[in-house]
Amino acid sequence: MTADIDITVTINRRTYRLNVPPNRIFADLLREDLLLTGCKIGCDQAVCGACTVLVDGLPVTACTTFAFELDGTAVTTIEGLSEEGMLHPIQRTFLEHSAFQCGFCTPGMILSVKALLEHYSDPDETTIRQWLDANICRCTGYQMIIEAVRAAAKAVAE
Amino acid sequence: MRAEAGDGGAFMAGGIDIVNRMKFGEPITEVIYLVGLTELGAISDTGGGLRLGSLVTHHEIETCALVRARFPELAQTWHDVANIRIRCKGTIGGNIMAADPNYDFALAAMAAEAHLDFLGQDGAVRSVSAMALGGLSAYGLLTGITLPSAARLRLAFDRSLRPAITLALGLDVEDGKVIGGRVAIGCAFPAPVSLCLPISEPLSSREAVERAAILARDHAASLPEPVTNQHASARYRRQMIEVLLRRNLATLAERIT
Repeated sequence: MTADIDITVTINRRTYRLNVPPNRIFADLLREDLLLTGCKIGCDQAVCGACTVLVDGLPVTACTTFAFELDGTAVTTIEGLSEEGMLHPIQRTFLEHSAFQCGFCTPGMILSVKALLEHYSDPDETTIRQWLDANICRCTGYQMIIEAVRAAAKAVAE
Repeated sequence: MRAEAGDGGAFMAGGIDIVNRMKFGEPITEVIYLVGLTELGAISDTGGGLRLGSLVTHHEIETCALVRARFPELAQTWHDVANIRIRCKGTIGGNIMAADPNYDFALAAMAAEAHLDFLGQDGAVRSVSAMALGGLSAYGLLTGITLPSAARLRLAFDRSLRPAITLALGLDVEDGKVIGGRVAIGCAFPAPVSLCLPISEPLSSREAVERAAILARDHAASLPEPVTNQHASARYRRQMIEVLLRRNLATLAERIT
């Protein structure tokens, strides 16, 4: 195995210079080294979406991404979404619409919604379902999540 | 680099597949990371067809204006492939080289009779027909996929019975007649399977529609034994391959003018 790799990555607007083993999984780095535990590990196979983070604005499964792949990128985790102590509008609408129960899937869900709203400012239900079809929630039945996303679209637009 | 890495070496594109394989115990000791080789990420016009770099992502297939213009069926289908995270990170080259029967792009390449360009360890470039899929890693690094002229190619994809069966159909059309065709089947065999349709003489649109049932029946009968697993039995798969092929062949042929 190759020696450790130097990477520079911006996470939640802060730049990190890190030396990572080549087989270090990004989700583990976030959770264990940087204590950004909002990135959850569910299936560990890129299926459930709980580990979703945004890399240069696009949703990525941190559980199937090596840390070295993030060199030179800007990453957003759920911890980086609020600003100056204020919840992001998507977080607020999830709260207002009771779009979570246990909350395990919520960070990945919210980050997927953020990416969705950057691509489609006013998505219809089909588009919402399509973007969230691989963010699995076993609590809510999804309807409240969809309502929260529609409300978030309006809130973000305002 | 690939030669130096030995048996434990593997090329890595989007990385989703390879990370999962490593988690499941595949002894990969060296990865050769390809992302950043910009020349492998280009989509270019070949004068009617398209050359897709092996690092083109599924999301780019879905959204690229050139792909949408030339092969709208491909772009439309790729809108539904996997999920948005995998489409953003996964590459078509990785998808082919994984040789997973449940993956989709190999089927598209087979149905289109695309050519796959490989850079060998000796530095030589080889172009291999997608119909010859199997043991591709021996050819070296997949650098691009060339789709033939869209003017003579009609494509159809059917993922309605996934994960039991996926089907891709490509018809070659010249002067308003079907002169050849290929079917590629996924999910139903240990590896993607493709066969040429036995079209011995040019068929008009109407003739192709009329012969769809016979071609589908003969094609399904000539296939090897499908797998039986939790998704479907071999018998069901064979029957449904015939049904899907008949439907798609008739629908595609009807559109030929």
